[in-house]
Amino acid sequence: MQNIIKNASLIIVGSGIKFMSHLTIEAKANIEQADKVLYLINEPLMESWINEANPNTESLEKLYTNYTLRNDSYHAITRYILEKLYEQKHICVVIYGHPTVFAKPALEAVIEAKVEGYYAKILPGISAEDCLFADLLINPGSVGCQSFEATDLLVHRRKIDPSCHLILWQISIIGELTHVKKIHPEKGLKMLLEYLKKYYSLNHEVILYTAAQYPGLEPVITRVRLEQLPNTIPLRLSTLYIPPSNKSSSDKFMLHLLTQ
Amino acid sequence: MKTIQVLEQLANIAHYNNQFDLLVNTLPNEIKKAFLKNDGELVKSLISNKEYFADEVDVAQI
Repeated sequence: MQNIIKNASLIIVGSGIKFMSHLTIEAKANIEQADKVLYLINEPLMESWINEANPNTESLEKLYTNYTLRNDSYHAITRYILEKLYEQKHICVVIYGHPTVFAKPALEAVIEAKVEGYYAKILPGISAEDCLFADLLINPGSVGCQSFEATDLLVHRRKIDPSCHLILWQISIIGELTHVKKIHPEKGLKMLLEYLKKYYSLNHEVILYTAAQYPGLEPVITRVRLEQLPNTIPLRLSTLYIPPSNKSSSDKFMLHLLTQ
Repeated sequence: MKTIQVLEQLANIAHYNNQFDLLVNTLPNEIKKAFLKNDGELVKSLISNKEYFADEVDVAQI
């Protein structure tokens, strides 16, 4: 068994979506007790709370703006997290939502830290998808669920099964590989409509969903027909949910083989 | 009371508790208005106009 380095560790925690309500007890303990806390948070109150909870904190936000391409920023964030770990400290990294759900930098840091012999762990947080399942009353296991980053869906021409739930992430920045200060998703949404038309009828109802970010607020849920999608203005944090449009038939022969 | 303290306390209170409305009433007026309109983006921008990019943490692999 590989020797684990004892005097340094890397713990990645998710802060959830809703301020304080979604912060788990284990995440809170790790933030408060770390030698250093690094964070990528999209909300000012959570940032203030982290700065109160631990005297040694640092935002990773600056690494976003040093690079034009988001992919380069994420790589730089991974390198920076590891650099701090290699100073032999117990590092806690706080990421908005769930730290590995559609979030690349911390996951890659943990993978590399483990290879280098450090204790490294990811603690789950509540993601936007978890909120969506709760607010839209969806059981992803009922018919299966596909979940894609919106640009990735188009660029890789991912196959959609219209008998499943479909969730498309980062809909407001579809087609954008750089940092986006003001969203202009019109062109991307038109191209998305063209793609989705192959699988769904134009009058199929779809839902633009945004989880509540503060305790006491409700989610924003906008229902539109698929053909209206390019005319909508999604919020920056909107996720697109497309309900199943048909039922898949069961394979009686397979069922027979499984149960005989 | 500071906005952060109010919202931190709201996170610990069930929505039907009498304390809930009392706490919301202690929010600064502009934030309270945005809160009652259920406009989370406006609440956030009233607390701070700082730009955040942390909701973009993944990108399509080309």
